[in-house]
Amino acid sequence: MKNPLSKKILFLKIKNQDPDAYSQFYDLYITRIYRFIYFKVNSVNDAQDLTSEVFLRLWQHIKESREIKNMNAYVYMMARNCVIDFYRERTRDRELSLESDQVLEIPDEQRDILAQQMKNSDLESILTGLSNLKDEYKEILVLRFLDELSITEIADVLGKSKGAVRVLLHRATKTLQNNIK
Amino acid sequence: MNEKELLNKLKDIKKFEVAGQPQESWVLSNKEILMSQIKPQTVQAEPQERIGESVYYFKYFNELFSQKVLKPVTVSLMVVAMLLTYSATVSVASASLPGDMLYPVKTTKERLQLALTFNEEDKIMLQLDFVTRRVDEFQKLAWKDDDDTTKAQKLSQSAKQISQDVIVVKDNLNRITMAASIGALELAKQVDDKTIEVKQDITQIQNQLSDQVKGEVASDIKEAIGNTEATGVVAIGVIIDQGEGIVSNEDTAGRLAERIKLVEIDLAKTAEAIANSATSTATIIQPSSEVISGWSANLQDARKAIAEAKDLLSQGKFNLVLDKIKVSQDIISQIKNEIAPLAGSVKVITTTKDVDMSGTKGQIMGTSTAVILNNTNVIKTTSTTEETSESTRNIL
Repeated sequence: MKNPLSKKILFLKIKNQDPDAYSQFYDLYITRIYRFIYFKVNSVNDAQDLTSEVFLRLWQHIKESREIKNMNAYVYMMARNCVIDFYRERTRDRELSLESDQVLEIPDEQRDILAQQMKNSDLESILTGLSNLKDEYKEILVLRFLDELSITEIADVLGKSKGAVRVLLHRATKTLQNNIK
Repeated sequence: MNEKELLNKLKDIKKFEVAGQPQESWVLSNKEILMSQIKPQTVQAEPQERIGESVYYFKYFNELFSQKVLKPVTVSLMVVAMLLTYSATVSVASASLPGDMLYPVKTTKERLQLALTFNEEDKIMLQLDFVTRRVDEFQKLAWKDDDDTTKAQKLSQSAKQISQDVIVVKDNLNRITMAASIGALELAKQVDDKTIEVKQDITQIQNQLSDQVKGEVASDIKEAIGNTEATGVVAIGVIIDQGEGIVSNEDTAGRLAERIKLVEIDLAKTAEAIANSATSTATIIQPSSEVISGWSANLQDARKAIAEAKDLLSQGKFNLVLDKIKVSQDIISQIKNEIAPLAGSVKVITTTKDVDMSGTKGQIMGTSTAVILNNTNVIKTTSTTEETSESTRNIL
């Protein structure tokens, strides 16, 4: 759905608790939210569970008529919170380190396909560079360039000011640039 | 790789659709599960209004306009409108009189002015201005072309307001005197002058009123004058106590002489009222000769006190002069209190009216004539009614 007006209309329908509209919303966002979560949890099963949870929780929020100013940012924020809860739970249960799980990796089954596609491209170096970045930088680059969120939306998702987001994005880009030199 | 190339490559990652791509089968099955969880909830819950596509467009533009265009414009317009309305209202209200719809706006503005004045002396000055306004209102109401009942009600309210305002002046003057404020002396002089002016104005206006209105507002006017006099006496007290060596004896003596003169005028008027109570037809119930003798004796005491005050004034004993003036004023006030209820008015009652005589309630039906005394008590009634209570019939 490229047309921003159509997207706004869709969000209005969702706010009006229209299940068909929510179905369209699901189609539009499932890949992006899954990817956002997957990059953070690095597990297909966990990413699937958390993505399902995000969509269900979001619908409940809509049903409770909670104020949602920006649906685009809100769904990412909810995904982010689900991941945070997931790690909290996991740390408590298994005493696992959060850092060790947050590595940007391509799953095994997709590595070969990706390898083919990456031939004659700089993608591999970029992915390597990305994987060496700290989580904060990785997250903001994914939100900005893969999910194409605006600075305002990222600020909403991360709970930071727009200025802080711009600075963070600049530092993340510079660090990635240095990593792949 | 420069920054621009890097950013393009980052965006390209999406094109490969392998980085974190969910399995298609899972996407579909998950959707089915999600929709099955959602739809039953929707059915069980209150049925959602089916809204056509066009309505959503309308809602969107409405939201957009209300948030981004109309809201700021509307708020700005409302603020401007409120400011204009407020200033216009306050402006119109400043000319309002007691009983008018906008009068509370005027008094609220005054209260606000007082609240925003920090200096105690400035506050008293402001309150003196308010007293002047109240007297001005009183005069305008007296001249206004209202029927007697309405006029009496409004004048009564106005007189009460004068009382309240002069009491506030008196209390504040006492307070700053206790705090030994430097400006207290100067203020006291102004309060003294103002109270004399106010008393004279009220008395003059009162004399212009019709007998019926005069009778109905008599007690409120008497109270207003009494409070004004009391405030003036407090002001002179401050001048005497704090003005030693600062205020010339001539000045203080002149002020006291003015007060004595006013009391003498009151004495003369009170003597006249006593004489009238025995003979005038305006007096509904004629007092007994014993009561009149008592009033005359008291009036004589007041005269003596004033005579002594004059002597003491010539000796320069200002504090004692003030005491004698107070004694005299108190006696006059007491006599007036006793005479006032007897000077009433005759009123034709054309509707049903409940009357209360000494705790026994009765009802006058039809066209009745009642003597309204002191604006509250029915002392004597004549009635064409067939149904009156026993207690009322006894009075007739």
